Amino acid sequence: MSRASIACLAVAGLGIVVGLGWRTLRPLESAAAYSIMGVGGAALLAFLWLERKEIAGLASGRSARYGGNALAYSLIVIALVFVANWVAVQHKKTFDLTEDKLFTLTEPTLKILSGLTRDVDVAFVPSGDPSDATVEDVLKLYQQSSPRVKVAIVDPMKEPRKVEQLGVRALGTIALSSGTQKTSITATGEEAITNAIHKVSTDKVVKAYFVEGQGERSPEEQSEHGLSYLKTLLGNKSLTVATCNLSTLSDVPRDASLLVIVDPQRPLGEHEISVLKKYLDEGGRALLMLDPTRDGGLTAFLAGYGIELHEDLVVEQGGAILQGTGPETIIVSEGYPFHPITDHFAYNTLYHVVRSVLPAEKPPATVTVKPLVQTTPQSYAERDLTAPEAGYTEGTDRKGPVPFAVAATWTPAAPPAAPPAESTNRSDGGRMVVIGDADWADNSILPVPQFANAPLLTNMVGWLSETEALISIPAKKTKGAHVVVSANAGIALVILAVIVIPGAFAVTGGLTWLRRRKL
Amino acid sequence: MSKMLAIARRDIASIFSSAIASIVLTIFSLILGGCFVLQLADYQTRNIQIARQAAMNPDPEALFEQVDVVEMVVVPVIYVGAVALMFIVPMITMRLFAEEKKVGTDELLLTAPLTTIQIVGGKYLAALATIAAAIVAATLPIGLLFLMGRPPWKIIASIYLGIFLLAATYAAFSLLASSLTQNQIVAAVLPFGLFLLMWVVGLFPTEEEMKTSTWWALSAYTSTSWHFEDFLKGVVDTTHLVYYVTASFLGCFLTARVIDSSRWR
Repeated sequence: MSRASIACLAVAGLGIVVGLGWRTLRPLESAAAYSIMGVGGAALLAFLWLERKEIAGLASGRSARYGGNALAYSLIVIALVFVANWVAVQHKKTFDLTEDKLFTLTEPTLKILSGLTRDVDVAFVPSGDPSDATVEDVLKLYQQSSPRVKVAIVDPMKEPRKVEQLGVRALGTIALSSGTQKTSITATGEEAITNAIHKVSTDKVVKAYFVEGQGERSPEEQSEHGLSYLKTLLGNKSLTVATCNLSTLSDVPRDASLLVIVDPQRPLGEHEISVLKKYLDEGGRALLMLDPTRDGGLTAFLAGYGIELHEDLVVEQGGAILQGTGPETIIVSEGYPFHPITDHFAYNTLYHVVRSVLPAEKPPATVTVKPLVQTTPQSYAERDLTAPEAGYTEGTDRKGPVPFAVAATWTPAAPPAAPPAESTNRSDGGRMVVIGDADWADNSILPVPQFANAPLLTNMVGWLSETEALISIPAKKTKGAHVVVSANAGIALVILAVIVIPGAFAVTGGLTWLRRRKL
Repeated sequence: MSKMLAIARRDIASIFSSAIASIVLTIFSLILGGCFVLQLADYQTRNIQIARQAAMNPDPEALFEQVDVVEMVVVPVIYVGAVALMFIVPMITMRLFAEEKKVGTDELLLTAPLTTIQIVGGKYLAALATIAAAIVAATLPIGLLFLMGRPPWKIIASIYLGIFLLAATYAAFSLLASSLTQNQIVAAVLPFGLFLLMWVVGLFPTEEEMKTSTWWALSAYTSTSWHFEDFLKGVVDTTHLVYYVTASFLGCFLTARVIDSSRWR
């Protein structure tokens, strides 16, 4: 080979490699990269021209024939490898081997994503925390699960203007937008992201009216018996909370997706009950939480809907016990009869001072009532609240399991005089949930993370308002694998790792060397 | 198959009889052992901190669950092992063909009643077995660590699957390099450079760039690091399985073509 040929070959190799590298590292300067590759290509052609006689000689021999076959064979196999990988990408399947399926989206999320009718833009502004990688992984799952979800990671150092346009004030925020709807969240779990996606992807507003006027607990109250935490929880799930006084209204507001009545201190008046009855009979939705001894005058009213409200106190003598409390504090672990609200719900919930609420033995023909939550068979409902001593009394008290929450559905007697607002989602008749405890949803118990009161309550609200987004996704708990290493065990492991194992390889090598030396 | 195994046995003995392999395996186990010790110390320190906080915390179990031995010890050790394999594997496989060419025993091999598949398969098996044994030996302390607790077997299986597949791909291309030259240094350095490039190229593009640029998407797809990360999380993706299997197959196939070419050149 002449010097010119060697020089051409060197320039060709250098040009192609440098050009490829340039194109990879500086994609915006592709013209320069292609120019360099072009120079390399030209040098390659020059090399082929200079060595044309040699090449022709090679190409005519047996080696060239075999070489040509081998090259063709290799190119076919390389093409097949590309095809196999392309097919694998198009039809990928993932197996999440983590205990809590951390890298798999839950059924409620997949249902919402499959129902998206317009694109949702999701922009994450990382904070630089190690947890950013987990957030990005979760957002990737959303993008992979729905072509309508477009995820972008916005580096605040590289794109400060874009961060400003997004209206993001703090790092670690996820900004979502779809159509004219926008929102941003700082919580980065699947539940928060799914609810935010649902919130921006629909123009409908779901509104819950909390009834007031008879001393009911207020969503504005921040004391331990207040419901401010519940209001915040529902707000995070794209639900608007308002209040109304039935005694001043002739009809429940048209935009009400549901009414919530929590622990009225005094009985509701005749007018209030008639407004409530009219609303429910026209297919309305209601959530009632009624502590023992305070039924708001609704016992007879609820009987008309096939629900028996009893003046008793449920006493739990089986199941888990909360330290420092008595049998009037109930933890339910498995007492969730089948219902869409409690479907796949297998978490502990906490209640305090509970009355029994039962489906009537003979409900009205158009009404169906099902129990939602009940105690263990070891419990009972104390019916004689004046008895000097507590204890189950045969013939008087009700033996467990004792239901204390029920869900009722019925067919409306007649269509509403004034049609409800489109956002109210009342597709298939009236619905009501009655639970014999108000404390389970107040500021002292609802936020407690060890109990799933919040997810159960949002499931109830979601079912009542027919809003899948309110079906809660309990946070995936990363249960870290934990080992206890004693001091001696630790020393033994260290010796094994840095002395024994490397030493074994070194000694084996040394012995082999010695043996060969002797030979 | 028996001929392939015979070649594999012979080459395993040859690998372990060489000083370089022993030195390389000693260094490999020392690197992983050192990493294990450092990470274990970190884990123990964190445990002590948690234990102090737990006394004042109403939910101590939740605190302990934050300290994950897989995340703090196993994953870093395996990740370092994956990086170390870039030079360990070529050093182990460099003599498989190159040495035979240099001393002239390759002619005996090619004229023996053996098919190319048996020759390449046997040597590939030898490389795989040696590397697998090295990984298992060097990570033995991890196995013993889990005798003291409740290991998440599925995640650990995923992690080991990932590193074995990575090692299999490296072994295939290192074998190819060894078949191309009789210089063992070249046979070690060439694949090391290739593996470094394949590892690093996946670290450059962002998700946005991969979506908008075919070039970046292809670059990332050819990257071994990009395909390795999911295994460390406990996620087994068929895309990654197909990548590693087809890459290993391609390396062995091209090696077979090079060996075949020796017969008719």
